[in-house]
Amino acid sequence: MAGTGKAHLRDDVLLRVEDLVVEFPAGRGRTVHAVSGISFDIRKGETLGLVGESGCGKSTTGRAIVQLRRPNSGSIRFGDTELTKLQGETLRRTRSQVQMIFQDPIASLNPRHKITDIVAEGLKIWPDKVPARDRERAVGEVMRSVGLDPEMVGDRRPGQFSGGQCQRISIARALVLDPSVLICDEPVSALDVSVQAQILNLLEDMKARYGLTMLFIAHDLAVVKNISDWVVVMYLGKICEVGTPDELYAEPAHPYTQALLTAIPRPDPGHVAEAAALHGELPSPLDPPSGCRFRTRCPLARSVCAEQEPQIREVRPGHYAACHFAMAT
Amino acid sequence: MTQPALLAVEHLSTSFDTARGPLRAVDDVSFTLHRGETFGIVGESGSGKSALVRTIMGLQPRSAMVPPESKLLFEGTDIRSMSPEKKRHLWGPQIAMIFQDPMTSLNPVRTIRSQMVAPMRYHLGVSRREAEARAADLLAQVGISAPERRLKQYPHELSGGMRQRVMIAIALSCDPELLIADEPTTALDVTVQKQILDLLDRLQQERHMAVILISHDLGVVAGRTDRIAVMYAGRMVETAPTGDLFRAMRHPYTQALLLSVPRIEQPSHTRLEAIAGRPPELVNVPPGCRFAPRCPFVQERCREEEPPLDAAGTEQHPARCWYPVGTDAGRAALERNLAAHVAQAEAVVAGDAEMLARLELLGKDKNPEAAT
Repeated sequence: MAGTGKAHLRDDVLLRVEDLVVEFPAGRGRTVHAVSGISFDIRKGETLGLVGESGCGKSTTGRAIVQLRRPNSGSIRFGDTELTKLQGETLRRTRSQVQMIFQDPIASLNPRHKITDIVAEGLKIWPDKVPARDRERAVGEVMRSVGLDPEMVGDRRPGQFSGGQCQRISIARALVLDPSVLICDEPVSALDVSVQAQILNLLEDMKARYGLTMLFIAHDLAVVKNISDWVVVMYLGKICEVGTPDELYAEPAHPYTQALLTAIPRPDPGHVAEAAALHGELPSPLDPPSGCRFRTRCPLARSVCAEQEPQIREVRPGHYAACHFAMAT
Repeated sequence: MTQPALLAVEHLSTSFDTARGPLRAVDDVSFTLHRGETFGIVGESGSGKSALVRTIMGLQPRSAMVPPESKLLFEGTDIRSMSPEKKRHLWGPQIAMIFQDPMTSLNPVRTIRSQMVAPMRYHLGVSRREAEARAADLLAQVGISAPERRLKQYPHELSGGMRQRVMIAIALSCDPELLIADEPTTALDVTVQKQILDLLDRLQQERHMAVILISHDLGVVAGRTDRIAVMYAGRMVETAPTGDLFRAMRHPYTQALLLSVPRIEQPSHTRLEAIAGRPPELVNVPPGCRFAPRCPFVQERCREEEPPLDAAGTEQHPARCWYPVGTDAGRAALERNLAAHVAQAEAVVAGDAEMLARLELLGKDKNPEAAT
């Protein structure tokens, strides 16, 4: 199995995920191994970018943290609370601390509700967050901070807004509860590039203003680099590489990260594209390869990769990779 | 007389009737394409790029209106006046198209074999046995291993990248002169995207086909086209040979499209140049330049009078702009807007200073990098 180990875990963290396993039954006794024993942590005020291609388990990880999908095993500690052990009322209460925004901004808003009601709903569910007389002011304030004028748009419904504006509304709805952690699952991938930049800038502003801790899940490496303080690269339910964005992108140690980075199309006709480093297709998560899960497509693979799962190890100070042959230059 | 261009699009417009009036999805677009050339069309959703190529293919919805002065000449023959019977012989052996979503463009209840064999039997008049042999050969050419086995499968048994390879194989099966690829890799992962784009490159060179490559991503078209057109709100706003375009972007929208996208060379937390607002609605378009409400260079004239495509630049590299990027007029316009605290102008200088200096958006003394 590729990429277990906890060498990259740090002290003094707000959220710690350890040995997280999420599996889905696939009928006829088969199992989808969506997330297979990953560990990572997020410090307070940090943005962690979780990046990988479709099917790598990044969204499943995000949903498992808020217990939208109960993990099969593993631990998720938020402060002093073990989220996987929570049930019923206490779980719901904790969720107001861990908010989420989703990929499809229009589908994640109730089309029949007015915008102000959508943003205020969390405050109605948790009446002790903000006293009733201050609620309207709180809603107006958060809407203005995401660039929506409550007087102008408060009475409209989601159908009257573009994707970018609906994403602003989703952000306002999440922030009005003053959460400690915001989980963003591909928040900009459904948006046009010009609008994508607005939302990325907005998330940076909101992070500064509300002191947010974010888990930012995306497939776009450039977007993840732009917004993150700490990056985790996933492949087929496993972690490949962990590090700070500037270091990880400049000196990728794992062959999968290297392949991802060379595959990005550059807006520069003078850029000499390297030959495709990656051939073939993603193996089925029903029957992932033995040893290192990346070995079937890896240019460096040797027999040891089929036999032994590489452990995450420090290849350079503060830069971790799970590969038998990760270059430690 | 010289040989006519492979495809000449002249004054093409397409509009749709809506409850609030006609929506001009494509507005007076002209370009020519020669054999073996790759033409990139870049724009965001709603820019009209898909409506443009669908009109070229004759795939626009029945309700679409294309005015009589719009001309589509394929090897000098007007496509629009062709009979349906003649068009059927155009699609496939002359012009083929691949789409963004390879799942919905393949028939889910027919095998790959049956979908590949039918067009070859119809257009090339070959026997079933020969068509099947060619199909296997084509699948191998597009990089599908075990083609004999794949031919027996249904689309749902293949991955997204594999389906797009099958689409490409079908499109190429009748040896088209022109391949239109409408966002062929948008639904695919980045490593698969690279495989598919490299494949298109190789096949185009082997077959000396012309290709129209549509994308919302300047990165996708940068290394793979001879010429690029940038579309905004139904209009072509700038077109140039690919190298020229990236050397000297003239239209503020083209430049904003480049600067608003995060790039992996930039350090983490680089402030992006977001384009304020969003594209205009194409019903009852106000006078003036369509980008004016979002443009950092906007001046009074831009709101009143729409610039023609040749308002700036050269015949080879025109731009629809009164105050183009990289000119003294443009620099002066941006400086005036900064002095007046126009929000979209201030958003530009909040962006990546190094990039701005390289683009010489401002005079040397006003350069944000020099100032800080």
